[in-house]
Amino acid sequence: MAADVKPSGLIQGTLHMLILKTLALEPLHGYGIGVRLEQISRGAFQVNAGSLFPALRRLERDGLIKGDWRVTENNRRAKYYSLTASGRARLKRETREWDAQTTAIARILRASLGEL
Amino acid sequence: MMPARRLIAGLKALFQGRQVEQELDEELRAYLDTSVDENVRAGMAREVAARAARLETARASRSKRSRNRGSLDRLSGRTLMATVRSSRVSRARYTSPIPPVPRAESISYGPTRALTASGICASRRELWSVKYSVRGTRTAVQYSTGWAIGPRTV
Repeated sequence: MAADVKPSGLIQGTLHMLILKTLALEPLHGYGIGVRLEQISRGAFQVNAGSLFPALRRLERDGLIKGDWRVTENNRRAKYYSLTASGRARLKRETREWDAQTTAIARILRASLGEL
Repeated sequence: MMPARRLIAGLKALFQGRQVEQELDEELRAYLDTSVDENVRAGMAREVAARAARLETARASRSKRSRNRGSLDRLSGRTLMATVRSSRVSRARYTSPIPPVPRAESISYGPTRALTASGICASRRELWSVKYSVRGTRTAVQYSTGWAIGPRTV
């Protein structure tokens, strides 16, 4: 069912949170992050390089992720990103806020006059 | 001492800026190569795969140029941009095309603002402009005179 979902744009402001979550699972390079997001969302989200790299720069600048150059499985050099301690804390906080907001929104969308 | 410090800080910023730039170039190249490898592995011809990857990295390069112009925050999807556009809605008052129900023998649609006379009667201390006739009574309408005595019927 989820595979039928067409690729769409991310909700404004959620890309950073999703990148943090992806990197919380394991350190990845830029291309790997894009592929992993597409895999986990079952094709619903496709993040292109034009959105991904500015987001990575900003997260790195804010000290939420750190990158180091390593050799990939294809023998190429790539910058692998991993989460810092403050990145982990930020992810935890943003996840909590997201849960609270989506619960509230879902409650509003399901509301009927009878239950008010 | 202060100018020397400023110079060092400036050089440091310049050097760091260039370093970041080079690193991003290298990263984009790595992205391109990995993308080509993956597409080839998925069965695409190397030339087609390279072209597709180049197209995508071109978009990222554009974002890199924008970053240099200081618009990283906008691109990273964090800030919602709003633009101001002038309203195209007419500012004219809405008037119903349906005339009002007659309540008297003669129907009045409000004061008539037909131009009847236009002229300036200036005296030593007054400046009056007669412009409108409201319901048959000519009324002098005061124009631009702070030192006039008051309205005057002409």
